[in-house]
Amino acid sequence: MFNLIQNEWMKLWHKKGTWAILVILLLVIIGVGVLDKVFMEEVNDSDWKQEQQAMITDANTQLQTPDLDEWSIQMYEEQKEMAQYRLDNNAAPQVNQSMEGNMAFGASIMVLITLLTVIPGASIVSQEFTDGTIKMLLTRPVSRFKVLTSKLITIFLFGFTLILVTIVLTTVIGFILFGTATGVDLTIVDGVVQQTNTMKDIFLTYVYSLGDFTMSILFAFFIGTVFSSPSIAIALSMLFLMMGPMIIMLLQKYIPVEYIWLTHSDLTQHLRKEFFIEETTLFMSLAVLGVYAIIFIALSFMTFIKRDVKA
Amino acid sequence: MSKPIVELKNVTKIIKGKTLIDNLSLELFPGQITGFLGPNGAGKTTTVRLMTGLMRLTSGTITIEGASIADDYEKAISNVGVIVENPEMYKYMSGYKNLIHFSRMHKDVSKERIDEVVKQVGLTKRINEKVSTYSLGMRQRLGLAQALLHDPKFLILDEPTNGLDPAGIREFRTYLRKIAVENNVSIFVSSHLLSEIELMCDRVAVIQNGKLIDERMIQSDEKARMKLKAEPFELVENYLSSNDYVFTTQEGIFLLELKEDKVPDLINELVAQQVQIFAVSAVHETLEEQFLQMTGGGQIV
Repeated sequence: MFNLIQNEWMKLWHKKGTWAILVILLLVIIGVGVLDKVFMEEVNDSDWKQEQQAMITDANTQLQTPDLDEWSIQMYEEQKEMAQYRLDNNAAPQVNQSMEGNMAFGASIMVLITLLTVIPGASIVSQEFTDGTIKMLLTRPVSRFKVLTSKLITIFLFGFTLILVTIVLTTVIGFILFGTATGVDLTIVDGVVQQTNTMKDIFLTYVYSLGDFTMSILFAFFIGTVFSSPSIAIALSMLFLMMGPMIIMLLQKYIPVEYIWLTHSDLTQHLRKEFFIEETTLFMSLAVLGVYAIIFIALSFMTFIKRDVKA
Repeated sequence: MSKPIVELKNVTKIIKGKTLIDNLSLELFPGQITGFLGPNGAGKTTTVRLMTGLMRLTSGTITIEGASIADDYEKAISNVGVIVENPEMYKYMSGYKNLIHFSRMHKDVSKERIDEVVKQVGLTKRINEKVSTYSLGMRQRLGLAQALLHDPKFLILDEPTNGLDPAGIREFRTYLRKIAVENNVSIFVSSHLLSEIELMCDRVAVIQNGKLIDERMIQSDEKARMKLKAEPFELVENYLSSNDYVFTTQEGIFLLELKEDKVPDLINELVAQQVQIFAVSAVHETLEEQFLQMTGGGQIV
């Protein structure tokens, strides 16, 4: 099996398209970092304590206003609480871009990484058919099951490589361009002010983004294997990845969408506590995704193993 | 005759109600080159695909060295080297990387073995260049190299000389003959080039409409025929029939089945009968004539 993965990896990196994918990713990461550096004005925040004090005064003044709506009241109360927290705990706000901020940007482009992995994912099987190389590949003392497994593993290896490149590069570039954070961000959880754990948030964003990542790759791989057409597979999986929530909105009038993978594949819904349709548990989402993942994999293998090769 | 290395028994393939291969049985032997002839659409490539496991059998069995292609695929195919139609290689990689790729799918193919095969097929100079820069003939050579990598006991070649120049074809033929004799490899060559098959093969199997319609040895002297022009006609006719020769007559010329070594005897006897002999010549019936005869003019049905 190791030999087969080695083969697939070799073929993948001999294609120009694979290098184009890597270049696009590098350009986005480096480009956004450099643009941030060039266009963002450095703010001198040495007198942040006075500013926080001013914010408290401002909030108090605003709260005096008669007939203030409930939403505004809450906003000014929170502004007051946070400013007070900063003064009490000597916690300066983070006003400039930082290494941590750049790393968070890395986590936010998981959608791009997914898109870029879908392309080889859709073509790794289908291109063997369109090129006619499939008959050279399958007339070997290796079962079709192993051939397909090696291809699936290779695609996930490729995707994880892109993720790793993103993590390392956003960290290094962030550190070089901006340096580590000098302040802290605050959030209010259940009415209590807390310091944000940025690293934990970045980590969770990466982990929860694996939902879309995994499902899109499996879907592209499945379509590419069944229809042996790279273009159909790439188009369909990109459509579902980009328009997934919209498709669900449209469909929900007609069918019970909570049993469709598109409703659940964006697991960051659970992180943000904002849901496309209605709140579900993480367990429910994972269960639905698991079932679809098994269906996609099973159909890919069944068609690939049974098919008569005429290419 | 030794034991067959490949056995096809009652092989049938039906796709969407259409019978592509109909109850085909064939045995292939070590050290023998078997030609597989048939008009376009007769089922040559389908048969090759069934033998290599690319397509599934509807019924019947195919065994290679005793291992069934349907039930014990990995064992059966490990002894087989294949070129199905054009050898499609990974164009974006070098010839050498292609061979490395395929060698990893077999057991025990060393780097030395790869170099040896590359040398044998005459690609040493260009092997590190991308396949996309290769001519058709060079791709054909690379195709042969990948089929030979693992030293197969059975070689299946579908239209192998397609794209080779005459010198290349000749070299190719000599090479196949060599591995058949020296390594006792059984070779199965499908082609529409009759003259090729005739020069290359020991034996020919003819397929039409998915059925095996003939199977025979090539260059067998059993069928040797002689053309005889002699007079007086009646005398010769009487002599031949009374001595149990098999013959036909055509415009005063006798066509008789006679081995070459019996010709002097016949001449002596006819001369003793005061017969005047004008000409005796061997009738060389080409495979093409036989083939057209068998397949009824090679019409595609």
